[in-house]
Amino acid sequence: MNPDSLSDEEILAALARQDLRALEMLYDRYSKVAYSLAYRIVGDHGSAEDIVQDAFLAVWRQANKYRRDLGAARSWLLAIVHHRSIDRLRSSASSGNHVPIDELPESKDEAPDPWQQVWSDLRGDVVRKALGSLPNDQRKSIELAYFSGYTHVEISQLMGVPLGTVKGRLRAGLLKLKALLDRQNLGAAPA
Amino acid sequence: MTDQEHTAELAAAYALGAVTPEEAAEVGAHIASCSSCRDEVNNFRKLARLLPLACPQAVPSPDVKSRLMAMAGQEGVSAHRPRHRSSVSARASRFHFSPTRPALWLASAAAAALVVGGALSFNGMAQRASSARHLSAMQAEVAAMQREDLHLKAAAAANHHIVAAVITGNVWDMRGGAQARRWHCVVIQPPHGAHAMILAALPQIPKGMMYQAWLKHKGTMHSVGMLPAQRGAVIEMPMQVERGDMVAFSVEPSAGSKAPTSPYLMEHTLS
Ligand SMILES: [Zn+2]
Repeated sequence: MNPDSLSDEEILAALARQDLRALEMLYDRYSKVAYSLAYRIVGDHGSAEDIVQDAFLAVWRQANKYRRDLGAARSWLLAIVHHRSIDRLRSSASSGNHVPIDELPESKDEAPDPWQQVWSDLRGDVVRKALGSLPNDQRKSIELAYFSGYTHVEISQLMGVPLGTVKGRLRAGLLKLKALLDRQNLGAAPA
Repeated sequence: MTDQEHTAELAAAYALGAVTPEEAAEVGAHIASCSSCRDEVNNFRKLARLLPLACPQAVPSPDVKSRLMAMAGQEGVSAHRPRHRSSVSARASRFHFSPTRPALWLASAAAAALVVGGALSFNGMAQRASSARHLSAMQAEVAAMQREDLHLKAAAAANHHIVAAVITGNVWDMRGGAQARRWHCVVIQPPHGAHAMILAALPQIPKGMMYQAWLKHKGTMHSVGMLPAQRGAVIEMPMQVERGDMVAFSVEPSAGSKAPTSPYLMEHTLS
């Protein structure tokens, strides 16, 4: 198999047949972004490596049960990495209020996924810059939510602002992010 | 959540996973039957999925791939053997945090920080305190507090050290916020090559979490130590600080993290 020629979906199908080469392809394609995400969340290389290894193993074990209408393979993989990283981060704290994103129901009738473009262009720096150019309060709110696993109630406590303000900042921040990425033709398609 | 209410207010928080399980259930039930809210949530979710790309790039060691392929290969030949745990628990011991070594006197100095932070509100510490006027004013204030607080009698020696450091060294003020979110925090660089200190009384954070202080010194980020919320504390930093260094605080599990896992809730460049 030519590593570049297979789509994620074809890789998943091969994984379901327990084809080790498919696992290697998936790893080569996404291990870096998976590891970067895990390390960004847990802040520790050893833990990040464990999480990435476990996440790929989970995909390997469950590929035959995965319903493709739930979304792209990389979304699934990264959702597992995100979920496990937040769990790891919070395991030494007592707050168990986090809702793992991969358990959230997902609609199949989505507009084209901007990921594909971003991914193929390897334009991570665009997203990084877009996030970095958000107003400080909006960026911090999004980071506390997504990378640190706090609920909007906890964020309101951490930032010392009312709940409504936090919800507003998360919303405004994502909308601004979309506008910034749209300008680069990277944003989500209009609703 | 009724049809009339919709989920607009929570859609972004939900897409980012920043809702309680109860709220998630409510939103989930609502978007199952409301297509406009479902579209909105899905659009936010697409944006949330881009966030992994915003992480600084890091590369796992080649060992990870070797281990993964070996484990998957083993499972392939006997597909239904019981799941074995990965090396997580064995390697968890690698994740430990070494707190900065507190000097002996620091143990009793937390009370002193409360005096400085609470009673003086770090008055006059904003500038580098170098005048004799400052010295006597601060000594008088601390002495007054000592008379009122039994704990501080035990910490008298510590006060002495801190006051001396304040008077003779460099002091940077990191106060900020209002009322319940008030930050009381100063960074002190005592003279004669001693390590820097942080005196702080910091606002509430979620249960089980602590503040972790970080120092960017000559371009390198160092973990400086852990501070509890809502009570005065003093930590000795692992080195001296100088102008241009940055001191920052993130919120971490109480064992501490090797790199910040939350954005900085407070940061200050020493000028
Ligand atoms: Zn609705």
